[in-house]
Amino acid sequence: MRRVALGEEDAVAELYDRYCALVFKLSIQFLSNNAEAEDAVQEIFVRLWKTADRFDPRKAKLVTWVMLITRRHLIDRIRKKTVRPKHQEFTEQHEVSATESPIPSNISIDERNAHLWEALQTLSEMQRTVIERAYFQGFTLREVSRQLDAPLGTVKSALSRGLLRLRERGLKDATSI
Amino acid sequence: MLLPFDETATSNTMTHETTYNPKRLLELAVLDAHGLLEPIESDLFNRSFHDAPAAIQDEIKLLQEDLALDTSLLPTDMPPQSLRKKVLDAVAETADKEAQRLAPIALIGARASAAQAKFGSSKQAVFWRTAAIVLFGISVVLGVITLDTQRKANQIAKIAINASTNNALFEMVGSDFANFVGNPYCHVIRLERKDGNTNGYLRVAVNERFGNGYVIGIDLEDNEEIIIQGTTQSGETFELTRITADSPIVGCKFDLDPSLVAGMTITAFDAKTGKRWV
Repeated sequence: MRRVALGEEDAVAELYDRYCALVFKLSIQFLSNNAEAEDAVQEIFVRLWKTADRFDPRKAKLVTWVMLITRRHLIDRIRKKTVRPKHQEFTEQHEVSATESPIPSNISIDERNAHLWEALQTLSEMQRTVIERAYFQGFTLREVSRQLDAPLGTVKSALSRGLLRLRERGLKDATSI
Repeated sequence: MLLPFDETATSNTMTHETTYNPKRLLELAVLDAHGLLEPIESDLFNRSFHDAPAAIQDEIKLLQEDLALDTSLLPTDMPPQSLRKKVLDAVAETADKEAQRLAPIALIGARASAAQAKFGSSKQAVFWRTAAIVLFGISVVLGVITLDTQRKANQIAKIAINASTNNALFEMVGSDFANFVGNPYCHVIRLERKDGNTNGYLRVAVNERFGNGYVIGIDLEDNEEIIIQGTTQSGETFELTRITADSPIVGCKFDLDPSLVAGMTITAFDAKTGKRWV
């Protein structure tokens, strides 16, 4: 990343070759549209180049940093793209069930995301709801906390556990294939 | 791999916390890896990470790496070949724009010679170089003026503080204090805390001919009680006096046997904690 920060063209190419698949797959999962995903990948690598000097190898591995920037960028993109209801509007419109989604999820239930969708169904309702809203719909954790009328700590805990359970589920599926 | 979570530990909001315990840190590591922490929380997480034991840091790094590398639930689509060129072009274009934006600064800095080769003869380069030299000159002059002004302000403040301190001292220990300190038989020592705390100090003045002395405490901690003691050459230790810090400047006069003063070592200690002053 030091070479990337210095603007060495070879270093950017090397970074792309190592991580493009991961970044692209995650972009597709978030955006469900190849053209949008390609745009996002370009923006993500530009963002990686711009923030390369902030990478601290003592704190995280390079792949962790790359995926963190990727995820942040995709969440930002969703937040910009989606008109999300304010809390008051949300509560007025969704008094029947707090776990009902305020806006349609960005993850499409197609073959491409079938594994993810199945894995989400194995989670508790709370975990599934907070993951959908915070991760795929771009709501902040505070917004989710207000929407569900649940303490912020509980939302964080449910989100963390849910994401870990998704990973365990994914690993289980991968080994059983 | 992950430590079990404690429900009670994770149910609090984190806005009032200054650092996180290891369990909470691991929980937040998952959210951090997914880019779900707000900037302020992310900063706090990073600080807590740096303060955490090495084993926890390793655990977090491994966990976050695992999460980053996990492709089990991702689509299997691969990026098209054409995307590589688009990405590299986008980065190169951004780099060019940045370089143009920073060109004036680069001319002043270490890359001046390289930049000169590219822009050397252009009027723009000459303009920026001249502007930089003029600005540098102005900043040096302003710096000198500022330093001089600060020095004068410090001198005035020092005089004011000394005058105020002297007044306070005279009120406390009497107007003959100045004469006492000016006497050639007077020895003045300064005592500081031995534990490294640099708050406040003590001055003890003893006249070896007449056997009397003064102790002054400046900026001691509130209601701190200090015992001043002397140790004679023969090893005998006795209390000279004690002071209680009920104001920023405290002091008192004390008497002692003049025959004991020669070679006496003066120390002090906190009456409540026993911490020493030397």
